[in-house]
Amino acid sequence: MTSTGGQSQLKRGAARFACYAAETYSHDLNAIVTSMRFSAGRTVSHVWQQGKQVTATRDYIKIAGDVSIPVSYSFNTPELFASFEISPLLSGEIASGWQLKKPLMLKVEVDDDGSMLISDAVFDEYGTGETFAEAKQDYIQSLIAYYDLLQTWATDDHPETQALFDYLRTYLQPDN
Amino acid sequence: MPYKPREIADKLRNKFDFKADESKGDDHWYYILKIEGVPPIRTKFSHNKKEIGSKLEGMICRQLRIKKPFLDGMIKCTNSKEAYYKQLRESPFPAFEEYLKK
Repeated sequence: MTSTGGQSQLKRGAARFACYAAETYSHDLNAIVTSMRFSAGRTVSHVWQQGKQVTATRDYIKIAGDVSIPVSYSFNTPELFASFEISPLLSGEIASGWQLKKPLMLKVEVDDDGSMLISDAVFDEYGTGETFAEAKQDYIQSLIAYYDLLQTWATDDHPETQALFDYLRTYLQPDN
Repeated sequence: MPYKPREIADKLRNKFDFKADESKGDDHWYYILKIEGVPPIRTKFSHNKKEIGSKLEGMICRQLRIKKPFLDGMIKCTNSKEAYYKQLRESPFPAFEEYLKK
C-alpha cells in the first residue's frame, strides 16, 4: 500500500504523464483533448514498463496500411487510473475551393463491420470508409453537398433553411 | 437484425415522402424531406454497405431526428408518416438547435 504522500506523488506523476501524452498526440494529429479523467482504486490488468509499473492501453484508429493513431489512451497503477480521449479537428482548406473558417471537431468511431465512421455534432454530417482517410474524404464530400443543398433551398419563404444555411456559412465557405 | 441500406431508403421514399437527390455522389443515395415549419431533413446511404452497423444506424437516426425505437416503428409500419411529421414538429431528437427556432 502506498503512503498518502507517495500516492499523491504518483498521482501528480500520472497526471503529468497523461497531460504530456495528450498534448503530444493532439498536437501531432491536429486534434483536441475532449476528456481527461483520473480516479483511484483501479485494478491493474496489464503491466507497461516505463521506469515504474504502469498499465497502458490504447484504442487505435487505423488510418491507412499499418499507420494508426491513438484516439484514446488510458493507464493504470494499483491506486490510480488516468485516461484521455482526443478528437481530430478539421480546419483550413478541406477540398479544392472550400475553406473551413472555424475548425470542426470530428468524432471517430469504428462500426460493427470494422469500417470507420466520422461525424460532427454541429451539423450531424457523417462519412464512412474502410480507412480514416476514406471516411474523412467521404465526410468532406457530404459537408460540401450539404452546403449546396441548403444554398438551393435557402429562400425567404423557408426561414428555417435560411437560418441553417447562414449558420453553416459561419463554418464553411467556397473560395471566391 | 441490422437493416440493409435499401430497406430504410425505400421506406423513407415510399412511405415518408423523402425525395432522392440523385445529383449528389456516385457512392451514396441522398434522401431529403422538406416539410413546413421544420428545417430540411437529410440522410444518406452507401451503395457499398450490405448492412448498417449500430453506430451508423445511430447516426442516421440523428439525421432523421428520431430515436432507434421510432426508426424500428417506421420500418415495421407501426409509425405512420403523420406520426413522424408530428415527431419532427413537436419532439425531434435531438432537438433542433436554438438558432433554427427563431
